[in-house]
Amino acid sequence: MHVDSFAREPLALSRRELLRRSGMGFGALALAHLLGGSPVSAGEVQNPLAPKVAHFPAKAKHVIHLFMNGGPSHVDTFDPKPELTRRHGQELPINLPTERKTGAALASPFQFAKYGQSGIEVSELFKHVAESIDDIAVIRSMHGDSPNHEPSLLLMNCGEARLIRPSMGSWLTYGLGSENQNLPGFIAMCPGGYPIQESQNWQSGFLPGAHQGTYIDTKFTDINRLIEHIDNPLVERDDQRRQLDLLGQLNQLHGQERGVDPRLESRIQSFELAYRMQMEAADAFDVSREPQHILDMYGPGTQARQILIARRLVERGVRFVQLWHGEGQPWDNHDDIEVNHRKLAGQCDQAIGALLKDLKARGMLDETLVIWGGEFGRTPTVELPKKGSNAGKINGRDHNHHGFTMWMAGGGVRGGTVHGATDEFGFQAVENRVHVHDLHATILHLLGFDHERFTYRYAGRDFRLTDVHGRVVKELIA
Amino acid sequence: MPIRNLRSRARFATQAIALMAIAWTFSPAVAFGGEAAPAAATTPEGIEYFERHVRPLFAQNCLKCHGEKQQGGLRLDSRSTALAGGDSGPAIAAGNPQASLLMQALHYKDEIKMPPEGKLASEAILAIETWIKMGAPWPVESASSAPAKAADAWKTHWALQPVTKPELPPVVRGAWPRSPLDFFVLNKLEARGLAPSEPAARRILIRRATFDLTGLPPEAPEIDAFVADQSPGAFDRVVERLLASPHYGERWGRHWLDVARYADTKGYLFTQDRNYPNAYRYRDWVVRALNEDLPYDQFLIQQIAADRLAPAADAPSLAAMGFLTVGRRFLGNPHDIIDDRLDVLTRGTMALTVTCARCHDHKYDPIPTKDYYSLYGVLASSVEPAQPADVMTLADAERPVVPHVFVRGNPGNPGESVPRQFLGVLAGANRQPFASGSGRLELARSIASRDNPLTARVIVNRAWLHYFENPLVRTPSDFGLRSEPPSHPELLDFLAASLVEHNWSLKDLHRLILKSATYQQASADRAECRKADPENRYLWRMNRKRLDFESLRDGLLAAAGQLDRSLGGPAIELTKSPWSRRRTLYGLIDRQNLPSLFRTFDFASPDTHSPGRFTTTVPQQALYMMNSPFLAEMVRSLANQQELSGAREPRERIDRVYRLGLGRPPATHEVDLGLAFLAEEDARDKRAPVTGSPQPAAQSAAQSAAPTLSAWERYVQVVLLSNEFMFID
Repeated sequence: MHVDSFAREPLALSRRELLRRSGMGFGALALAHLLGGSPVSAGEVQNPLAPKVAHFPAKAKHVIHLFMNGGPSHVDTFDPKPELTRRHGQELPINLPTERKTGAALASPFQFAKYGQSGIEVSELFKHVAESIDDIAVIRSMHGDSPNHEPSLLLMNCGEARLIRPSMGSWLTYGLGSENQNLPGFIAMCPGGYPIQESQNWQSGFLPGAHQGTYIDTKFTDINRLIEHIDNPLVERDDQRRQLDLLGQLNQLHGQERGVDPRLESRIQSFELAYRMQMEAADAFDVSREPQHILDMYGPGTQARQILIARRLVERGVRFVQLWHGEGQPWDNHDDIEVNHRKLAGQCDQAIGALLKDLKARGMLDETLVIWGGEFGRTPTVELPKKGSNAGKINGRDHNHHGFTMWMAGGGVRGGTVHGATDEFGFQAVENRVHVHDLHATILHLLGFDHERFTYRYAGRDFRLTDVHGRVVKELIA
Repeated sequence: MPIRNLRSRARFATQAIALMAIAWTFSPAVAFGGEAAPAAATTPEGIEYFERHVRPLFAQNCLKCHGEKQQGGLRLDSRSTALAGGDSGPAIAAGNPQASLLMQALHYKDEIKMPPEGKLASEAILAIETWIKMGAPWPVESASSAPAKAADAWKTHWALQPVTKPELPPVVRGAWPRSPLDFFVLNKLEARGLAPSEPAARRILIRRATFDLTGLPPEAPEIDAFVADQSPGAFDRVVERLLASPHYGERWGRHWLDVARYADTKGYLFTQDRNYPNAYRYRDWVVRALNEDLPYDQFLIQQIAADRLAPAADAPSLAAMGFLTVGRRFLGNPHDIIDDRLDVLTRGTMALTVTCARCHDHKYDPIPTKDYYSLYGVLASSVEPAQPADVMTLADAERPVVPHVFVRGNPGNPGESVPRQFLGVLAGANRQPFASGSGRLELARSIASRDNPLTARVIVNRAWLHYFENPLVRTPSDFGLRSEPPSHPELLDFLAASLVEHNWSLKDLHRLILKSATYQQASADRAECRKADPENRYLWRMNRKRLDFESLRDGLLAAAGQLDRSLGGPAIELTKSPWSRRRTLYGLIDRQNLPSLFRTFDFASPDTHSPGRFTTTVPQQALYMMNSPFLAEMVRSLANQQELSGAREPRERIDRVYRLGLGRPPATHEVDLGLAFLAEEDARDKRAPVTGSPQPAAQSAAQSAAPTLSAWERYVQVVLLSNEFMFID
C-alpha cells in the first residue's frame, strides 16, 4: 500500500511525544537519586539515565555534535581572508609554531559569498549549510592548547588534554539523564571504525559506565550490526514475549518472599524496556522509513544516512549524538587540500544543510543544539614538505590551534552572528577569543547548567567539564 | 537533588590566566542582583565570592610583595591585616570601595599604582570592587594560616588516630553474637531500637559464602552436604573449604585488580604496540599471593619493592610490581605515568588523595605539594629494566633523582628541591629522608607499617565493602578530612587491630567476618527496620547483592556445566565466538577500548584506581541476557546436560534445572508454571516437540546449529534470566 508522505507530516509532533513517552516508565520507577559521592552503598544507583532537571530552565535539550575530525580549514570554509589571497605565495609577518613547518601564504582556492539576512560569508564548500546561516552563530576566534590531534581531541571532547576525564556527552547524560530509556542516551557514530584516540573521545571517565557513549559503526545498515544483541535469531519475537511473561511470574514469586527491594523491581522493568528497545532501535536507525522527499533532501551516501539517523535519534529523545566524519582523521589534509576538502565537504554539506532545515521545519531546532567543528583548524600558510610526514606536495595546510572556527545553531543560540575574529590571515584568534573551555561553558549554559556548579566528586575533589576554566560567551546566546 | 550541588571552594588552578578567566565569568550584577549588601560579609555566598573571584587575584597579583614580605607594611593575606592596611593607611573600607585605598591603587588613579607590573583587567578590578561593596567577606582563618589549620584538624581526624583495639561493647541480646564483631554491630542496632534478622537458610548461606569467597555458585552436592550436615561447626567447615579453594584467590585477586587499575594494554598509543603481553604475570602473582595468604603487609611491600628485598627476588616475585607498572602510558609522558602510579599507591593502600597536591598544596588534607614531589622522586628514581622472564618490574636507577617541586605541576617550571621521603603527616616530626637507593623499599615499609594508622583500616574497609556492599567508611579510597566518618568506628578499629594482630592474615579477617552472626543474617525486608534505617547502614539484615560481571558470566558457565576451572595464564579474548570457557578473570582487558559488554555490566574502569563498582540497571544488560549468542549457548548446554536428558518426565527435568541453575528444588507452584509453559510452547512449537525426549548431550553440538531454541530451551533460558539467578540473598 502506498503511504502518502504528506499525511505523516502533521503527525510529527504528537508522534515525537509518543516516541519519547514510551520510555518514561523507567524514570518514574527509578529512585530519583544520587550519582555523586561514593559509588558504593547498597541499593543506591538505579537507572542512571532517568530524566533529571538541570540548574535552570534552558531551551536546548539535545545536542548533535558534527565532528569534522582531522581539523577542517577555517580559511577555506567559514573565515574568509582576502588578505591571504592578496599575499599568496609571500611570507607572512606572522608564523606561529604548529605541528610541522609551514611556509608562505596559501590563498584559499574556494569562493566565498554572502548569505542570508546577516550576510555572513561562507565558502562554496558549505553552500547548503550557508542557506541556514541566519540560524547559525559562527565562532571565528576559537583557540586550543596544542597543535596535535590526540590532546586536541581530548580537550575538545573531555576538557582535558591528557588525563582521564568524562566526555561532554557523558557529563550531559549524567546531568540530564535521557528522555528515551529504550535507546542509549549518548550515541557516537563513526562510519568505518574509530577516529583517533578512539573510544576515549566518548569516555565516561570516573562517571558510571552507563554514561559512556555507545559507539555505532554507521558503515553498516543492518540493525544487528549497529546495536549489539538487539535481535535474537534463535527466538521468535512472540516466543520471547511469552518467555518474559513467565519470567515476570517467576520474579513476582521471588519478590513476594523477599519484600521491598527496588533493585529487584527495576531489573524486572529493564527486561520489558529491552523488549521494547528491540523495536524502537530498529525503527530509529532505519532511515528507509523516511519519506522520499526527506531522503532526497539529505542526499545520498553514508554521511547523509548518519546525519538523518541523528535527527531520528534526537526526535526520540536521545540526549547527545556525536557524528564523526569517518575513521581516523579524514579532514587532516596536509596535502591536496583543495581536492580533499572539496570531497569531504561534498559528502556532508547537503546533509548538514538538510538537517538544519529539517529540524527547523519540525520545530525541533530550538531544542536541539547543533555543533560543527573539528579538534582545531588549519594554517593559512602552506605546509612544507618533510620526509615521512607528508607527500611533499606543498599544497596542504598544517594543524592550527591558535585560531579556528566552529559554529553552533539552534538550542538557544543567537543565529546570524559572527563572534570573534582571527588576524587578517587567519593564523591566530585575536578578537573575543573563545577557548575550548569557554565553548564548553557556553554549551553547558545552553543546556541549563552553570559549569562551575556542575561537579562530580571523585578522588577527593569536585571535578568539572571545564576544570578551573571557562566562561560563558553571552554573545552567542539568543 | 539529582545533581551534586556542592559549592566547591577548591580551585585547582594551574595558570594565572585561568584565574583571571574565572574572574571574568561572573558579572557581579548577575551574581548578586546588582545591589550587594555589606551583609554578604557573613554569608556563605560572600565567602564563596571571595574564594572564587578575589582570593585568586590577590594570590596571583599581590601576595608576592604583600604577603609574608609585607612591602609598605601591607599584608593582603588575612582580612584583619588587609583592613588595617600599611604605611599609607587602611587599604580597605569594608562596604565602601570609593573610600578604599586599594581601589585607587588598582584604578591607577593616584601615585600608588598596583600591581606595578600593569593594571589589572577591568573585570578583575570590578570583582574586587564588588567584593569590598559586599563588606569584604573573608573566611575566619587567614590565608597564611590555612595549611596550619588543616594540620590541626588532622590531629583529631579519626583516620589518623592510632588504631587501638576497642573493648567489646555491651549488648542486650547476649546469645546472638557468634564473633566479636557482632557485639559492635548489635550494640549500634540496639541503641537504635533495632533487632538483627533471623539467620539465613542454609541453602542461601552456602550460596552467599561461595559467591563471596570464590565468585562461583556452590555445586549441587556441596549444597546437599551442607544442608544435611547438622553437626556443630558445619558452616565453619564450609568456610575453611572455600578459603582453601584456589578460586578464593581468583575472586579476591580480582577485587585487588580493581584497586590496581589492572589492564592488559597500555592505552592509546598511535603506532607502538599497545599490549602488555605479560601483565597477566602480575594478575597471577596476586591470585597466588592471596591463595597462599601472604600477609597483607608483605603483599604490599612486594608489590612496591620486590626488587629490593633480600634474598634477591626471583622473577615470579618481581611480577608483583605490576601493581605500579600496569597503568596507562599517557603517550609516554613520564610525569603522568608517575602521577598515575602515585595515585594507585596512595589512594589504593592508604585512601589518601595525594595526587591532589600535584599542582598546589592539598586543599583539605595536610599534603603539601612538596610531599607529592618527595614521593614523585621515589618513583622517578625507579626504572623499568628489561627482564629475561618478561615481568614488568622496577629497579632503582643508578643515580636517584633529586626531585624538584614543579610549580603548579608544570615540569618546565622546577622550583625548590625536596628530599625523597615519606608523607609528613604520617611520618611525624622525626621524618628522615629515604637513604637507600630510590627509597622505594623504605616507602613500602612506611605504608605497610603497623604504625601507619591508615593501611589496615583501608583494607578491612575494602573487605567489608565486598561482603556487605555498604563499606564502614563510605569513601573507601578517601579517608581525608572531607570523608564521612565511619558508621562503626570501633568496629573498623577492631577489625584493623585484629588484622595486624593476626600477622596481617587476610584469611583470618575473612574467618572473622564469615563466622559472624552479622554476616549470616537473612536478607529479607523488614518494614519497621527499613523505616528506621532505609540504607541498612546498621546492618539489621544482610544486603542483597547483585552478581557482578565476573560472577554472572562464571555462574552461567558453571550452571551450563561448561566452566573451565583451570588457573592462570595469558589473557584471552572473551567477547568473540568461539566463546571461551575460562573464568572471566582471565579475559583480555583492553584499557583503550574496553568492550561494551564489560561496561554494560559495570566492570571497573581500568583507567584509574577504582574505589568500588557502580551498580546500574540498563536495558542493555537485559538485551545481553535475552539475545546474546553466548547466552544461547549456555542455555543449550544446560538444557541438554546428560543429567537432564536422562530425566524423561518434564516435572523431573524442571526439578533438575532448578537445582543446577538456582541451587534449590522448585516449589510446587513453580513446577506448575513450568509445566504450563512447556505445554503451551510445545503445542505452538511445530518444528520440534520436546516433551517426549530431549536431545542427548552428544548431539548438542549439532543442535546448537539449529535455527531456533526449542520450547524446553526457552524455558531454561527464563530460569537463567530470573532475579533469583542474578541476586545473592
